[in-house]
Amino acid sequence: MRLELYEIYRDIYIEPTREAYELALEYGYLPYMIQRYIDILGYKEALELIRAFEKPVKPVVRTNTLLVTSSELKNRLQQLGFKLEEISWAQGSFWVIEKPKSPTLGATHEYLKGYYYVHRDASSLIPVLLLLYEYSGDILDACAAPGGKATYAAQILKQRGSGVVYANDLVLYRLRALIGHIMRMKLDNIVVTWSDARILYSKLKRKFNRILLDSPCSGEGRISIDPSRKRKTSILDLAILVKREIELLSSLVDLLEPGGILAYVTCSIAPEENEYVVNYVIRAKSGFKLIEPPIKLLNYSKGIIEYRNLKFSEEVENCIRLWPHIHGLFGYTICLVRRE
Amino acid sequence: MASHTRVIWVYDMPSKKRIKLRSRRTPLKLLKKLKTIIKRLYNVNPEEYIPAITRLTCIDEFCIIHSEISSTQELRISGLRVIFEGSWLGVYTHGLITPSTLLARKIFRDQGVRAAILVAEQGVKAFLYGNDILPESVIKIYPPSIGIYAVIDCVDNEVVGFTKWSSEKGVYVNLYDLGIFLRILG
Repeated sequence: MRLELYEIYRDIYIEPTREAYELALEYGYLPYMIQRYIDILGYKEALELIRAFEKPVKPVVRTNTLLVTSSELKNRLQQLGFKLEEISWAQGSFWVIEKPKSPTLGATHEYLKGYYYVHRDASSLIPVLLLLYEYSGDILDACAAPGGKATYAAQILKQRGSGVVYANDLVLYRLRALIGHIMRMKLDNIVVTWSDARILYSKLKRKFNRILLDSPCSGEGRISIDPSRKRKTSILDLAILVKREIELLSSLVDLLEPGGILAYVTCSIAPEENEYVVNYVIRAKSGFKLIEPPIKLLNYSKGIIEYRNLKFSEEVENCIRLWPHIHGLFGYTICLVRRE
Repeated sequence: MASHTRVIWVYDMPSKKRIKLRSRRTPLKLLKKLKTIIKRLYNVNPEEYIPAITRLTCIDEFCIIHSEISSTQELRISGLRVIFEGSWLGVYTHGLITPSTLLARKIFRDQGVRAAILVAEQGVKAFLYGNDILPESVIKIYPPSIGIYAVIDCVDNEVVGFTKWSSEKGVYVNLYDLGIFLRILG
């Protein structure tokens, strides 16, 4: 199975219209991105999305319930001047509504003692909760650093009594931070490996029932915290990313046990990086299905099945999308692939 | 470090500094030292707390002794680089070996607190930023006093690091504290 870069480029190429150029100029985006938003959402809603990207997102504190109760942590952080609001669908996690000037969230005693992890946004909690729903056992986190999801999964599995997280990444200096989090949070059920996830199938002599692939992507959903992403990824860069995403997903699904589930996750709202990728892989490989999330944590938006001249399989609708202007979170896409 | 230890140099992109990573089985001599210290400090059978096979992972000069998860042996044989696993047991830095805060926590829970100092909030605050502890910050000393002490935060009785009494300086010298993960590992 091989999709050439020029084929991807041809498939995803967008010629922006005048109104896309004008909006792009006003908000500092690459015009093809704006054209895409208009094509998916319509002009009015695209404008709402662009405006939502201008607003800051709330960071999240996730309690390490192996060391402290969430109510105790909340009390202690509130004494330091933080104002927290519990996330109804993620037990033990809080949105940080207000912060004092000092200390920062990453410099409190409680942080150093491993009582919590700081997520930039609540969206990254969702794939872990979906993938580990009513599950205990081993899990592979293929692109794990810096470790927000891996440490969350390890914490949940430890509480359920069994399961090791195999946390892999290609970037060693980011794995160093992951090791820091593991030690800080006193977790003992994580194995850290250093490898290109695309060749893991040739090195691992086993399969997994659960795999998390938080693929390196354009990060287009994180524009609110990194505005440089408005202009960072040209269409050619995007095609290169898509090619790598297809390679990652198609090699990792081979590591699934029959009945096993892989969560394909990107912090991107680009259909090219999401629906296009999963659609290509499930069509090219037999025996895989896209399934609905096992639990409704919030009112997700559905995956896109038709976009410009691209038509995807209907099951792609089972992917879930988080939109900044609808959900108040990072732009995020999650697709659950099950091996039959 | 023995010559067969595989050393990997990696550039830390944000700081452009080179990081040296080494991972191997813990040398027996080092493991024996850790067990001796645990026996001396806590009067427990170290075999109950330290598994037979452990690993030593060093990031620059900061080395972590940790347990090995049995399934990872197979991963190593197939050529996968396993760089950390299991439970944190000790720290080896500047030629000195010290138990991990995790291990001390476990032993204190099983056997009661020994060889430790209970420190006031301000003292702990300074300690967690890498500073030494002044004697006036120490609320209580748990015997035996054999030089090395676990540091306990008086607020929540959490072990936050290790010190060594220096009669020359008149302070409890910071051997390592929990802030080290942020300072060294990022």
